[in-house]
Amino acid sequence: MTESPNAPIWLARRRVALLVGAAFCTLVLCGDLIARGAWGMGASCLGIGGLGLWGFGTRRWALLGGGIALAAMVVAAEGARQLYGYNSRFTYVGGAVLLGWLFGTGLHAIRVRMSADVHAGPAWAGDVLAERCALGVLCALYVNSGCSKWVVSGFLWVAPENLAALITAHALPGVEPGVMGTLEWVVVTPTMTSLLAGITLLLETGAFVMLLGGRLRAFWAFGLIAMHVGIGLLTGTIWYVANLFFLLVFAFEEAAPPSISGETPVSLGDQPL
Amino acid sequence: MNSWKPAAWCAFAIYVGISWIAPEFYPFSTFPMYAGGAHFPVDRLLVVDARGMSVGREKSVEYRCVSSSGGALDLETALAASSRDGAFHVPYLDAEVREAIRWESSLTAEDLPWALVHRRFLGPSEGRLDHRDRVLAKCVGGGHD
Repeated sequence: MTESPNAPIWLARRRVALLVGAAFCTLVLCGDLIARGAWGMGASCLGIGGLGLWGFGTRRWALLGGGIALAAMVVAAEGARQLYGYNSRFTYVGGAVLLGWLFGTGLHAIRVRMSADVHAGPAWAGDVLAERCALGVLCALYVNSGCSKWVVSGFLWVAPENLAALITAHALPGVEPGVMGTLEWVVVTPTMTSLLAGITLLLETGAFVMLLGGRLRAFWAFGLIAMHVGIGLLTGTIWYVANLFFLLVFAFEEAAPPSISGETPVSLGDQPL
Repeated sequence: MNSWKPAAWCAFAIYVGISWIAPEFYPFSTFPMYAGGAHFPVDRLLVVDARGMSVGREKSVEYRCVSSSGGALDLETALAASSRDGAFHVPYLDAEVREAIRWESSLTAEDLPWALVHRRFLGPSEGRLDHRDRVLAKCVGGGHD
């Protein structure tokens, strides 16, 4: 078995993408605190979080740096919730995916330490595990959102009035007459609102199928991306850009390196994880 | 079997599990937004122009307003008077408008081009979506004299 000393480029890209996404969420969380007057807490979390993310970017301090960055995000988010009773829900994806990545990195470190396994692979082997765990958490966010709707409303969530009222509350007062005509058509067409609500519920609840890998992973990821775009168009809610970003980043499954899996390399999308 | 497959499912299960135990602790959440659904009538607090179109929604506009009595208006009381409790509304959207209002008793209501309204959408009926407005105050943009 030949081991490649270099990390695959897709893995490096995902690591950088995670850094960018986590940095964006940190900035939003801390910026929110600063904008509301909590200068000290906001600036401290921003500085410590930035330092942690820098450490995460280096392989040597990845786990420690990532942990510090995550801790800064927790303090900023919980601080805002305690001080103002609210924090930005759309920033949760950055912390959650970072947590998933760190979980995978930690698992790999434990595995290497416990087994002294010569097949543990090169230094970047942990990143492969981390990437898969980050995807697991990304799926969990959507499954949670779908399950919340099932638990609270059940099938009533796809009742025509639900989505019609949500679109009306968010979008209709603020759009120009031409756009309003289209939105109003959606609102007054019960079949359309029920269909869109049903698709949303299906996509969210079934997000775990991305873990099965292959083409299904990309198919479902792009379904969720379409869902976010639809929500943006129908309600004007554009805050979930971080979710869109992570879905795009994690949409495609890359071939597992042979030195890690111990198997014959597979081409993209030929086989589940 | 690849060794990371169970690890990914494990990360998934742990996140879901903790989220339902501690649903508010960052970065865990069950994302319950709008899980309870929405219904008509729908209420919005808006600043609108003469056409009834919302103004300043995308910009950081500050509204200078005056009530019909010539001073500040207690919005909570005014909205409660509209029997708001039974209607669906999105608190943060109304809060954005509320936070952008600066009450100025020196303004003359008749001269101001915009209106702060409590808009109620009654629900779809015969292919249309009707609404009615209750004017709470008259307003103008922050930079306008």
